Amino acid sequence: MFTTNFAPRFRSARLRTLGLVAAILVAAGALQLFDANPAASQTLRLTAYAASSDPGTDPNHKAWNDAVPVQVPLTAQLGAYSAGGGSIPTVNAKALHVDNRLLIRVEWADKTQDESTTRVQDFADAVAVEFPSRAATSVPAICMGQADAGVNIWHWRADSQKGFQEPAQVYAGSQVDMYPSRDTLFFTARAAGNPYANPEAGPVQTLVSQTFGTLTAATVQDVKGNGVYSNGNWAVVFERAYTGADGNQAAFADGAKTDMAFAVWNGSEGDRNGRKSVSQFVQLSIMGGDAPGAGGTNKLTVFLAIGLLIGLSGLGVALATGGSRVAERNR
Amino acid sequence: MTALPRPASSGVSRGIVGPLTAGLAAAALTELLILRTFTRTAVHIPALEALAGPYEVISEVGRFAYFVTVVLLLAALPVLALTLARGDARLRAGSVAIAVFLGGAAIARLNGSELLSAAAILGATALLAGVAASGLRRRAALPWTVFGAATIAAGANILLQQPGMPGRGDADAVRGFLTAAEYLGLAFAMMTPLFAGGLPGTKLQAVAIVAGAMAFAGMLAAPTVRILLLWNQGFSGSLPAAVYGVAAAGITAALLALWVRGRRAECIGLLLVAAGGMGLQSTYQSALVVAGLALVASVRPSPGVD
Amino acid sequence: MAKVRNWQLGREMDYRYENGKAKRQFAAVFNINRCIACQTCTMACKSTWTFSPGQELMWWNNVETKPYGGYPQNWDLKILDLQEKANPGGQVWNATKKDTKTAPYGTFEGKTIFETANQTDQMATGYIPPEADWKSPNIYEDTATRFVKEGVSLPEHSGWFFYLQRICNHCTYPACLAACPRNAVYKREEDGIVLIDQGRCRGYRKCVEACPYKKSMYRPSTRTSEKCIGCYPRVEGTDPLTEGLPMETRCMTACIGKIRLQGLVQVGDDGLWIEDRQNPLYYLVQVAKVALPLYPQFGTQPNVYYIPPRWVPRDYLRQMFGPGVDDAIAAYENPSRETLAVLQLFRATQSIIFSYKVQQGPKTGELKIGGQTREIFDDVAIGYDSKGREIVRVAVHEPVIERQGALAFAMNTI
Repeated sequence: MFTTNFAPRFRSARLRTLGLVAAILVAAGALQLFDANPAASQTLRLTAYAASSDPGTDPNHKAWNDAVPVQVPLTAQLGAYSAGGGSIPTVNAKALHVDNRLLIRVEWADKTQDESTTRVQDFADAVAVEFPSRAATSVPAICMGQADAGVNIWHWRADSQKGFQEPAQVYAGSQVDMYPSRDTLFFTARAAGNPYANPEAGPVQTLVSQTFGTLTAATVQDVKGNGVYSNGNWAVVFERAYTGADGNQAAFADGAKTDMAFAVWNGSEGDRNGRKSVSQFVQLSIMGGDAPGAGGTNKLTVFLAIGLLIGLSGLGVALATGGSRVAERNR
Repeated sequence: MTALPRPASSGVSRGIVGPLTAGLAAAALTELLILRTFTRTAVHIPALEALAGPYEVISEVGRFAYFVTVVLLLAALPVLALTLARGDARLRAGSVAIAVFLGGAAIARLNGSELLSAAAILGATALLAGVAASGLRRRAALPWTVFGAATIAAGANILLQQPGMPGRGDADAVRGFLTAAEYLGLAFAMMTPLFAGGLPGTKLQAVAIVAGAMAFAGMLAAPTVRILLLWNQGFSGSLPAAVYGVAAAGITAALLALWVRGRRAECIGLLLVAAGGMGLQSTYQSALVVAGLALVASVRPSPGVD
Repeated sequence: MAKVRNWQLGREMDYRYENGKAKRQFAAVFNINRCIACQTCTMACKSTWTFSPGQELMWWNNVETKPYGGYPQNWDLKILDLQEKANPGGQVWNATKKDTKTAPYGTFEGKTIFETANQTDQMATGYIPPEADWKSPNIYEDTATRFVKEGVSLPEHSGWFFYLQRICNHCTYPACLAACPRNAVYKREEDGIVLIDQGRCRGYRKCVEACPYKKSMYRPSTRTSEKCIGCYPRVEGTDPLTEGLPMETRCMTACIGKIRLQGLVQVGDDGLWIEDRQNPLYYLVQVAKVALPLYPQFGTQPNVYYIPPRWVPRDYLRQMFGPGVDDAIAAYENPSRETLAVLQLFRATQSIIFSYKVQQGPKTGELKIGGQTREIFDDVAIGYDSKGREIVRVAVHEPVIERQGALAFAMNTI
């Protein structure tokens, strides 16, 4: 039926097609121009509510009891790893805000407390959170523009928190004749301004990775942090004012949303650098108001959602099994 | 007796669905390659400062491809819904699923209940997978049934952690569902040749094996490949690299087989599903999957023809 | 992975980066035969660079007793073992596939540490020696393979040991550099010295793991890794002491056994040494072929060359220095007039000798070695600095001076 009157139809069809294609491209261009993205992120959401009292950097402060946690699954970044999987499978994340400061609490299970890097073969436990430097709200769905905007990483290390140890502290009875000088000059990395070598630096390093640069320490180190190990669990708190001291860094505000990701290093597994457990992007949402009451979402929504899911997928299963039986029979 | 015109092949929509979905697949693949793959990894390439200019251009092209895909999705989903609505009861269920999906996506965009939107999108995807399976013989239907299950399992992680959900935040349940999703998702990829009606010819099998070997090598060699698989397709990459190689070979073989057997629409449908991945990442990626499933459902072979 | 030419292996090999642009390369020749393990070099280095907190176990220069000693302990055996496990039975040389310039020792047909690595978390096969391995830098000092009551004799001693002097090899294809994910390790264009940027290092210890010679060392007091810096201010001639002229490193100039000669050689884009016939290092390594690289089979193209100890069983030496051992020992035992003259330049001056001349002298004696008659000439070797000025002049025959008068009397009566 399509072969009749082929020639004249062809021309008009071609014109119509061209018009359609042009319309699509123009529409896409307009969306891009105005940064109007109809899609939405559907990842895990970590919500930061206002804290009932200021917990500071204490991971065990009671204010954290009210914060609702999310379990963020992690996966190994490395192909070859010794323990048969990213050795830390999930982190439990919470967020609060108080006085225009954002607090992130990360807790994970780790049988070994690795906080010394005195011996050459020892690596420390660590955790990092990563944000796009420019809140990627325009296209949250696929976190695009991440490379364009660079990322901002807050990196807590157990060994940085513990501080440097000298042989006499580590090995009882060890003896050193003398050190001719304790000048910073002879701690070469300190003299070179390497933040990891600086005994004055806190346990959290602020790092930026710009579009094409590699990971570098931020000019201003303004993230505070504290980790506590107990009962086979690390709990680490990060704290920073909404607005970073350095323009390259992620900025937050009441009501803002941004993507974030987690990474955990397990020192006893030799984790360092890219050898770590890393999460998918989750969405961090900063709520202006107080934490909701124990009720949270109303029951009707929960019932509706569960009903919708079970109803639709049940119908799907019925169709899949029943339908293919019919197809089989028709054959 | 002449064969009844197949529901999906009548009317204006047939003329539009083909080019629309083909364009959609092309745009989505461009977006996947540039935006979700290149720009996410470029930051890790050292000493590329010199190429900042070309990078910006490529990145903008990727953004444009993304928006073209979005516009095409917005056009294709209603058209697919209309097409399905003209079919029998089963297909009409598919059009309802698309409507439910659009509703869920709208709720997500308007910052409504995350629980509701996630449930709607997961339910709609599972239902469409069922519709896609319904017109097929049991063996060919199997991968789609598995895909539906994988979607639910992968999305359960997010559903389970919504406020008000029973058993909320149970780490073991989260891990259990994610492990199940990993196995189901891989099983789906490996089973897709069943849907395609068997493996393609020897030469194309070789192509599929090469694709699988490349995926295997990538998983072994580059940590970034695992991260991309997690961020793009929702797989944690926790199983041995060889499994992912086999899965990649399977889905490549299925795509090639569908293409050479003239089942182009179904090939495009499968491609869209693969580009979207499993579980919940964004309404954009879910929409790719929904469009792919609807396309597969709309061109099911007529009874008696295989 | 790029393909680079490794002339010590006589073939191309895989390396993470393209061939570097080092125009001149730090290189040295160590004459193992003359070393008495006095450790003056070791202390010269220690007292210059590694005397501060956190560097207690750090010896950029060390002298170990082979075959049992090692710093860190068993470093070479462990790497040889890893390599053998990765390529069982395949780590062999083909000594017949030779070329004077591109394959002077033959062709290595096994795999380098780069070629056996998985290229995921390891760019080069290696391991991190645990702390205990670094604690006894001179373990098994002077320990021979066995005690021989009746004594030993050449050409191969039945009970033996020898001293191995080790610094960073400032390799042409450094494994530490390939392994660093931070690009903190770099190789200088001007002299090929390999350095770790102390500002960028984050203490991942990938270089400690990858360096087959274990000359990257971790320093807990700064959480970074440090390594031999080739005394670069001296080599540059920027150290005030050098008065602007390139000068040999501390460990070289401190050597009282006169076993060391260090300098700079010219390297082409293909990684081969550019012909520089009158450079003493070029002469010893490329012309006389009397000095050999340490474990060339690792594939890093190390730049410290050793005159092998002539009393040691050849199998052991071939494993350590490659198939060039027999020729090198022959060239050392029965040196040409030129080789004998160049050997006199070792430790004759602190400045780097860029070229030499040999002034022929009269015949002064005859020796019978292995049934062959050897004539000895009192030739004079003259060394020139980077600007072509004469800096040293030494004769094959050391002048003998008898002390006269009161001093002689005093010396004799003690």
